[in-house]
Amino acid sequence: MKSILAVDDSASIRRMVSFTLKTAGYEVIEAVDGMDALAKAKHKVMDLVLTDQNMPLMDGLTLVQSLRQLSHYRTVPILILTTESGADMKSKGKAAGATGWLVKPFDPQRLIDVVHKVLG
Amino acid sequence: MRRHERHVLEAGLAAADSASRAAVDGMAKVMIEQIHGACTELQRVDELLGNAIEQLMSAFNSVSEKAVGYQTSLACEVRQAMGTPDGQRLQAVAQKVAKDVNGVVTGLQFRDVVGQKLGHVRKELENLELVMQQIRAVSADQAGLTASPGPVELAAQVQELLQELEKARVASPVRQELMHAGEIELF
Repeated sequence: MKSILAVDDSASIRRMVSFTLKTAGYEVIEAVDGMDALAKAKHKVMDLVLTDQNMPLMDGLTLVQSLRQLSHYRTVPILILTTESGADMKSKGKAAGATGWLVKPFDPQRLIDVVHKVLG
Repeated sequence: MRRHERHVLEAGLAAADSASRAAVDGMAKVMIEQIHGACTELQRVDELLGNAIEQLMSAFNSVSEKAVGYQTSLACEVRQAMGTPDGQRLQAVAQKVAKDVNGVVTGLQFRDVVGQKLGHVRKELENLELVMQQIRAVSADQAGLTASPGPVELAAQVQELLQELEKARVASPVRQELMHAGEIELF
């Protein structure tokens, strides 16, 4: 079973992501912010990371940059799921090493389709 | 100009300056009170939303497992009845259930999207309040400690502060106007 790290400071979003991806057959590990995610990502290598952008302690872009510095995470897909939809933020996400940008609210079926696609 | 006329003119100008300062100060004071009221209301809306979503989440948690179980058994029934009129009916039911579950999952993200919008509006109001406090500070006669500005100077200072406010404006990070699912872009 492929594992996905779902990072969001909103409990309701984590619950929705977790419900959607578990229903599609994935193992989902939750993290409440970038720092928590980094610790969990070091403990276990995930197949995909799905992270929010605006979070306390460490935001999504910083998390992407930190993960990309870890040898195990150089090629792991990292998707940013955020309410921010500005082109400048997307460019920053791309530059940081994110695989894709998803704007909230997400449609469950479309999220599953994207996850299937990036996991090959 | 004779001495007496000059004295009357200076007294008139001083009175006008004082009236202008009082008007600007009064306006800024009222605006600060209004902003405080709006911020309090926004805070209350945020709390109400939080409570409502908490209750909805609780309901979702108790029915989601059953919904998944129902969808799984429905999918089995659809496979078994494939090619029959019953199969078509069950297929339609399964699609309707999947659409409804997707709608609930999308709708429950409402709190996060609206919360960010509220946060942005509150920040804008706080910036506006800060400018109003600065306007009060420049318009107030500081008991002769500093030179009080005349109407023209006061207007220029207020204009400058409003321009600063405009520069400090940040576009809302949330652009959605409806609760439709957002866009997806793979790099």
